[in-house]
Amino acid sequence: MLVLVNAFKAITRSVGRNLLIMLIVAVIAAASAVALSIRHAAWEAETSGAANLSVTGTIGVDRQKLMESVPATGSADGSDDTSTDRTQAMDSWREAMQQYPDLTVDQLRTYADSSYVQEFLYSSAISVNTTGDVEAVSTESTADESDQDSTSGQDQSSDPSQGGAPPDASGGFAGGPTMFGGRSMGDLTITGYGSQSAMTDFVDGTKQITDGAMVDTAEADNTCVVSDEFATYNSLAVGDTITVSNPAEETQTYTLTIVGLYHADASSQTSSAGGPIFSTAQDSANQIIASYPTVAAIEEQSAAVATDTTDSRGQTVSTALTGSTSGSYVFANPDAYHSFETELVSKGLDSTYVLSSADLDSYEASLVPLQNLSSFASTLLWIVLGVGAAVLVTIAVFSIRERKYEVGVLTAIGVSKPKVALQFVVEMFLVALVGLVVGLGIGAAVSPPIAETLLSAQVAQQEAQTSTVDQNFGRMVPGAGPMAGPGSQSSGFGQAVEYINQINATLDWTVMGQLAGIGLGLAVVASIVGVVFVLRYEPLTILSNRS
Amino acid sequence: MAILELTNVSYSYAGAEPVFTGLDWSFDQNKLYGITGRSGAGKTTLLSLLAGLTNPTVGAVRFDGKDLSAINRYRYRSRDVGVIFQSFNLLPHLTAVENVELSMRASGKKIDHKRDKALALLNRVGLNAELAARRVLKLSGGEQQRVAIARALSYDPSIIVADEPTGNLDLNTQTDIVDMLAELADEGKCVIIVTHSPDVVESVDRVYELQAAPVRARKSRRGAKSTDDSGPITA
Repeated sequence: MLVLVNAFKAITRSVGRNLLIMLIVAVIAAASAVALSIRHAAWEAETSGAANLSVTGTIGVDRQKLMESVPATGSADGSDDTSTDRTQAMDSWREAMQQYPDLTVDQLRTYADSSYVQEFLYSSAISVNTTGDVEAVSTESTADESDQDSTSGQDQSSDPSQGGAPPDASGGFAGGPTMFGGRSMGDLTITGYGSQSAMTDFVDGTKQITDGAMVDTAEADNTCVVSDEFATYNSLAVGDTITVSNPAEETQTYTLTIVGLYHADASSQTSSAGGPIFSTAQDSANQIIASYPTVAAIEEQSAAVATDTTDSRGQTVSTALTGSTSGSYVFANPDAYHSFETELVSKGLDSTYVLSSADLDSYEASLVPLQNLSSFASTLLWIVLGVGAAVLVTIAVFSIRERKYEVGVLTAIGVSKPKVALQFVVEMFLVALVGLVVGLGIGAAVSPPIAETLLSAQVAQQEAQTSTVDQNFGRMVPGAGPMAGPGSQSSGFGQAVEYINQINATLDWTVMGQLAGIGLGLAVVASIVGVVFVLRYEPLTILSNRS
Repeated sequence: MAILELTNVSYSYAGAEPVFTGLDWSFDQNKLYGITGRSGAGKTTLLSLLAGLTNPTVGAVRFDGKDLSAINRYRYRSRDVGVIFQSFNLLPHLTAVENVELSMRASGKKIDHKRDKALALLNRVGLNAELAARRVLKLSGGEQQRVAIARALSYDPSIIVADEPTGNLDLNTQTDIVDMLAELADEGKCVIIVTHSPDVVESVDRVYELQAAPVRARKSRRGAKSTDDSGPITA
């Protein structure tokens, strides 16, 4: 009681000093509230985003590492004649690439046996030509119809005798078996999926079955699903068959039965990858869906009758249809992804192969402005706390020295030093509490708008930085692509990053708890000075000096 | 048994010659004592020992048979001894009555109606309610002295120690104060006055005279009131 009464009287006695302390604590509390709420909101956004993020990863050759292992081009003496070196480097590079081919589905499947992997999705895509009256959809050729009077797709497929040529004005590759990525390029792409989950376009709803049914992914029954655009273009319906041929060997044909039609939200002339189209086979309308066993069976049959030839560079080229396999692992969250990454090393995956995830990279890139803001908030918090604590301690030191006589009198009349010290602590706590409440109110009011403003500035800065880098590299200017929009930014080659540009920086119980802790800590720091002084003071010395 | 005893008490400040040595004095309840001595003889230092503000360098000060250095001196100061400092040592930001109440609360004793009792005490020492409500800085020296006395009495200690309680006071006020202290001694308290004033010395039951060394004592002139008339006291 004595302590409380004395503390209250002391507070009301030194109104000016205590108002100053309240003001300082309020400023510290308000600034801390803003900083803490930003940090907390950033953390929440990050953790909730990560918790809800289903990550897919693929294992592929680490080409960067592979390139580093290949001897560099250029002559040692700096002369201009480096063609020999370049040829050697190219050969070394090709040799290295052949040494480390993409992993097969079976190899990828062995790594999928992991507690971190939720699902293993795989597919294989082969490029084939149309035969007979069936043509690949090509709007470019329709535009030039007056000049050519036929679709380029038909022309290309129907005339295999024409050699490979660079893309012409009619779109796609004019002529027969064009080589793309070491494989013959046709008019259509048949993708065989290992499961329905692997059909991400259907899972996310950008493609829907409009007639018939989806193929049975477990059966090698030579059935397929084609786009409604392709079906309409060729007057095909469910139950009809289409015959496709090997672009490298037109006599090699395969017949598939259409069991369903699908509609793609993306219009024709849009590549399945969203990028520029170099071939009709990349047109989303020319994507034929089959089961993985069906595609594997076609590849097997093609390999059985394939012949090898040697090209002008001395490379052996096979006429076999070889699929571009793709295997991706689905993880529940980024942690599982990183754990799997570690597990792959322990399972003996060659270090030339690497696990990568475009969606995780994109997600992490989207967090950059938020992380920058959080880092800024942390710095602000430490500065405010450091400066605030120093000011409070200084005031406390002057205050206690000013009240030395009071300490002397109180201890002389029998109030113990711990009680006197406690009185000083209580005073500081009561004053700090008021300052904390005021600061908390101000902080609660200003946190959301300040956080939004700062985050917008960070996003703008990040966009400007990325834009500059893109322009320096001659990449597409942001805003031109279909992914562009508010808060989105291309990052690298056409991959858009949706920056997190909203933050909920309201004060919640966690932040208020942290603020209470900060207030308590500051009061303790400031009070400790008082306590130390009080414990050092001797009443007789104080009163004698005063006398 | 004496309520307060000094046994072979010496005191010296750090690195200095002893202020006094070999004090063997005792103080009883129901008596008014005077301690005199020349300036610098250590009167205020001795008062600090009696008030429990410091410990002797040699010897012991015993309260009720217990060595002050071995007991809780805060408790002793707040409950058993009331000190009237020469410079009053009142808290300037408090009113007269609040200063008195503060001592009541500091004692930890259960005292009901503190405000009424504080006002009554102040009234007894000659301060009315209007003066009692003033901050002590707005009171005269004599009035502050009275507040200091009231504060010393507020928790009913068994010993009252007063350092020059009549210094800077006019003759009438001096007489009032000394009479009041004598009255307290008559009520059963042990009252010890450190003084230079011959008039005060004339009024006490027993006088101890403090010299640097040796210390000598002489008989009180207030013999009629003394219960101990065993002759001159020697140290």
